[in-house]
Amino acid sequence: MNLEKNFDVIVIGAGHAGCEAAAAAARSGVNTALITNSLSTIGEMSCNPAIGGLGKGHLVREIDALDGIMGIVADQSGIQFRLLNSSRGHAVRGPRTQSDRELYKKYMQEMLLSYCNLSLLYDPVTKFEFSKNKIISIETQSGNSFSAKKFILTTGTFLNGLIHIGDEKISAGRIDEKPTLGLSEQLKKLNFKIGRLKTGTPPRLDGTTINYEELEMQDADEKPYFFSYLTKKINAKQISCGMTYTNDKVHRIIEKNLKRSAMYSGSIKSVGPRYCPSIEDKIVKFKDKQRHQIFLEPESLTTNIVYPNGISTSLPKQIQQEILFKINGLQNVRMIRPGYAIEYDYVFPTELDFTLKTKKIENLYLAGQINGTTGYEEAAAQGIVAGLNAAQSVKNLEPIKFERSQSYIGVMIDDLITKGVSEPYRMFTSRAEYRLTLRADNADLRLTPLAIKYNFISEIRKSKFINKINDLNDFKVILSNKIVSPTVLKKNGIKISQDGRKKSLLQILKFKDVTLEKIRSIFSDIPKYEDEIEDLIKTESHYSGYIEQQKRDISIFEKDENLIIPKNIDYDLVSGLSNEIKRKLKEIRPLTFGQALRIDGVTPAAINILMIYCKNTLRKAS
Amino acid sequence: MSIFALATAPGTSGLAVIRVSGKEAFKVAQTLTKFKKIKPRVANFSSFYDHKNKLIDKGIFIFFQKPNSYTGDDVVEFHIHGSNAVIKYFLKTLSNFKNCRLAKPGEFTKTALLNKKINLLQAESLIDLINSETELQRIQALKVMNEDTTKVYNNLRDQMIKILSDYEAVIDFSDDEVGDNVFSNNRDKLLKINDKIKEIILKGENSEKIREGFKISIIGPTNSGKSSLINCLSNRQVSIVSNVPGTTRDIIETTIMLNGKLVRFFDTAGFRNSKNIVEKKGISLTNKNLKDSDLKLIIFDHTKKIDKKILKLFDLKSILVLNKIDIKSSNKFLEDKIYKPIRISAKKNIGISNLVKTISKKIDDHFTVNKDNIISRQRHTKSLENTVFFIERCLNKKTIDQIDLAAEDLRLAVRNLGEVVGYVNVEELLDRIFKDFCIGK
Ligand SMILES: Cc1cc2nc3c(=O)[nH]c(=O)nc-3n(C[C@H](O)[C@H](O)[C@H](O)COP(=O)(O)OP(=O)(O)OC[C@H]3O[C@@H](n4cnc5c(N)ncnc54)[C@H](O)[C@@H]3O)c2cc1C
Ligand SMILES: Nc1nc2c(ncn2[C@@H]2O[C@H](COP(=O)(O)OP(=O)(O)OP(=O)(O)O)[C@@H](O)[C@H]2O)c(=O)[nH]1
Ligand SMILES: [Mg+2]
Repeated sequence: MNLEKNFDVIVIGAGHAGCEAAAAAARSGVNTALITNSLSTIGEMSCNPAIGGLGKGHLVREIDALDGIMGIVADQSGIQFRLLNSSRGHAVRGPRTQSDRELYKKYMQEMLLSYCNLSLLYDPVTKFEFSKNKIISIETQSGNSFSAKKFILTTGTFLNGLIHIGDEKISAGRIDEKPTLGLSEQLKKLNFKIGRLKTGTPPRLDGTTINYEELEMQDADEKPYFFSYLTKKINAKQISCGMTYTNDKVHRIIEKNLKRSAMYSGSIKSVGPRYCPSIEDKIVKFKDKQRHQIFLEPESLTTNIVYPNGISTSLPKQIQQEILFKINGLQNVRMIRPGYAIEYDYVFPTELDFTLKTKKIENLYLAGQINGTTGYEEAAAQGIVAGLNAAQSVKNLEPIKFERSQSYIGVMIDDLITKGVSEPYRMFTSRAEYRLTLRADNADLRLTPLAIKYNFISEIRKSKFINKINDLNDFKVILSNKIVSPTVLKKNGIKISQDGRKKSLLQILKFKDVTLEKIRSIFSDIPKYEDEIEDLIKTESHYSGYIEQQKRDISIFEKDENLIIPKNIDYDLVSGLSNEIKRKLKEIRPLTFGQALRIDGVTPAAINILMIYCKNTLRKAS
Repeated sequence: MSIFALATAPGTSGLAVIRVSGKEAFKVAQTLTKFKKIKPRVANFSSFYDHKNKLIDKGIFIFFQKPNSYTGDDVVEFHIHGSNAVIKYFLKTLSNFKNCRLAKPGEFTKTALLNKKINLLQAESLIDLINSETELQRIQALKVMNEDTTKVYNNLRDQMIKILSDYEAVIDFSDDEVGDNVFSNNRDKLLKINDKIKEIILKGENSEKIREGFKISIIGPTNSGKSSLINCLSNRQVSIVSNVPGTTRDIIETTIMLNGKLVRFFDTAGFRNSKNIVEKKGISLTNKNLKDSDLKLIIFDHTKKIDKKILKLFDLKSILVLNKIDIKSSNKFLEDKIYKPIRISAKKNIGISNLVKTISKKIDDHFTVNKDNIISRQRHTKSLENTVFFIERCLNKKTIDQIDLAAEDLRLAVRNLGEVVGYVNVEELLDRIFKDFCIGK
């Protein structure tokens, strides 16, 4: 068989970023290849078997709104759906599911194999071939060479990966997988700024040796909240997981052996994520805490492996086992695999523009952990941005910019390229300044129009979305055309402020105790729509006052965002800027004044000076 | 680019100080003084030479090494003799250095702001201090510029960020046993912060007036002598006087120092029923001016009948003036007890000092100037009022399902408070969360 060797877009690495990037490029209609180490690790969840969560769940909903694949696969393999923060406000609710690790891989592989315009190749990439500031081809372990117009590098934790278990060091990309050597050296030669970060994972347990009898159990939600707008019903069996806690004995063992942990012995110098601390970190930093919670999450319906969420560690193997024995429910547990920490190379994301293209190599895009982020969802979200933009560029179309005011994806990209990272970057809802507007429930309203505009959406999804919009508008018209007086409402047990003014049904929905059921019990002619639409209408009225305010803020934000800084500006010529600020501006080269203002250390006063400078030079030029 | 300028007031004086700031400052000092080594922060006596080795002057110079200088860059200050010729020649010599140019107004302070030597609040007050004309203005500017003032604002803001980080932790880390009782835990703290901010607003009530001057409108019927009075008060011909009623149409303003206070008087078009469109427009301007004035002088010609409609404008913040007392009149003003009129002659300069005294007292009675005031601009008051608005809206949220709205209110409150001093930042918030909570699994 003749191996195809020439593509529009080549994606290197089939982790979460790579899969999403390849799917996005292929969906955009360009000839795409996904090259990875092996078929069996496509869609591998390196750490915990779960997708979503607070902030992360928002990202997955957004990926799905762009017709991405992560949401669908997570739904198909979900074995415990839970909507986090369900007692909190709508805007901060985050869908999450535990996923069957094996099923996730299976459905991901099936999905990719069935994608049009997409070839899968299993052959580790060993070398880039450059011509000036362009990559012309890549070489693989088997000695093949592949060329493409655009390359997307998504190698995760593999670049010079080094695993630590106590004082044992293993060169690896993940446990039992070879690292990728040489690629980051090639980038370094081209003056890429490369740093090192670390992350860790807990030991894995044999579920048949856990005593669940005394443990509290946590069940799935009764009514699952899916990631995908297309999913209608549960595919896999739902399970529950156990909860247990560390205790004083555990803490004392850890304290005694702290020096033997890779993180505290001095062998790891790189920074790990604060919000995903190892159990060693938790005990050192939070001395007062008597116990830390552990969730015992089954990894799969078909294996007995259990993931103890909460005790990631890099202590020596036998200490890990010793600790486990001291934990309630785990007195007889068998440790299948020890936990470990891993250090890896990452590229400073300030090397990238908003399409995730590197500034130094004109046809190379980076996405995922390689950019200093952590998490499957963060990786996948970057993958879709890089994949879509690489395809746009192949087709000579305008780049697609995700705005902070429009999506969590936009918030993340802007944070990365503007501020860089000092620790692995993870999404939080508090990073989004327009949090009340950027909700999980309205991800499609925010982003699907983009997918339609640039035509990377399936017909099924498109027609479904258009129907939904029509229904939504019809229902709104019905509700706003029906005007009622406060007295009528009062008679029916709805108390609202008696300012005597008549209001539309849409307006009274704003009030806390007013539901659509209640309205329907008074006005029986109001039709019933799908739950999705009814919930959306109620939520939007609930936030309406705040959303108006955010809209105003967004329009101010967009004004700054639309003020373009001339591309060829020479910051050295701008007098009045401190050297520190000049250095930062030169490094990041912000595209707009809005972006410049978000760079750490750049003051509003500096922006004023810059604006005056640009205005003056423009005036002189014209 | 390095910048230089005369730091003291222009004109002949005993001493003049010239300041150079930027990369070149050290080289400039070396070249002018021929010193090889220069110790920072030490006063050196030296001769100063130009590029052709000609002596310019003798004096003192001090080198401040960055970042320990006013601007945060290298700074040299030359203390020379304050003769116009010496100053001119010295500045000319400096402009011959490569990469050196004359500073623009306020540029040293702007550099200090950019180098984060001072914050926005301090930069503003510094400008106020330099521009201050009255004692009150000087004291106010100094007080606001003080580090302690910045600390007051920053403290309040830190306390709010701490509370906000509690809220955010409940949202972003709800699984980590961060309690649901955030509202009750923080209620008292928030109330306290709110009270404190309200107190600051109250104490700063008249600060804008001290900075900008108290506004006093002079109003009355046509021909009563309003323009004559403003001329008399300012000792100049600022407004046209004539015996034709309806002479003044535009608002005429003049600023006067009055017992240590800056006061701005406005001469206005006199009230009467007029068909002339220009005059009608003038009268509507008068009404507008009245709306944002602090005091009004209502002036009548005591030989004429008092117009009851105009008299109705009299309130607590008014002074009634009867003019033209140099002319005898048969009309007796009957309500002396109520209106306590001041009798003057603007033309003959009679009773003016008594009027000035009354105005000054009226200002003191109505506009207390608080020693603890730490507000100097409308901008500050507006931001603080917004802060209070959002804190109070936040305090209205009491159930956990409103946590996202409460957090939004607090974010807006923090943002507004931050605007007084000049910044806000998300990272700061996350730092806070991680410092105080054990988070993550
Ligand atoms: C030990 C460990 C613990 C972690 N803990 C957490 C955690 O607690 N929480 C959390 O949110 N995230 C955690 N993560 C991170 C999470 O796994 C990653 O963020 C996410 O998987 C990154 O996705 P990615 O697509 O960037 O890379 P990966 O999922 O790492 O995928 C990289 C892919 O590239 C392929 N590849 C590598 N080199 C080559 C090459 N030369 N040629 C071809 N293919 C190549 C690999 O085979 C792999 O398929 C952890 C990761 C590890 C390894
Ligand atoms: N005798 C006498 N005449 C005065 C006195 N004050 C003002 N006048 C005269 O009154 C006339 C009107 O004075 P203005 O000062 O122009 O009066 P005005 O209130 O500004 O009038 P309009 O601008 O037309 O509203 C002029 O002829 C003045 O000379 C005063 O104290 N004594
Ligand atoms: Mg006049």
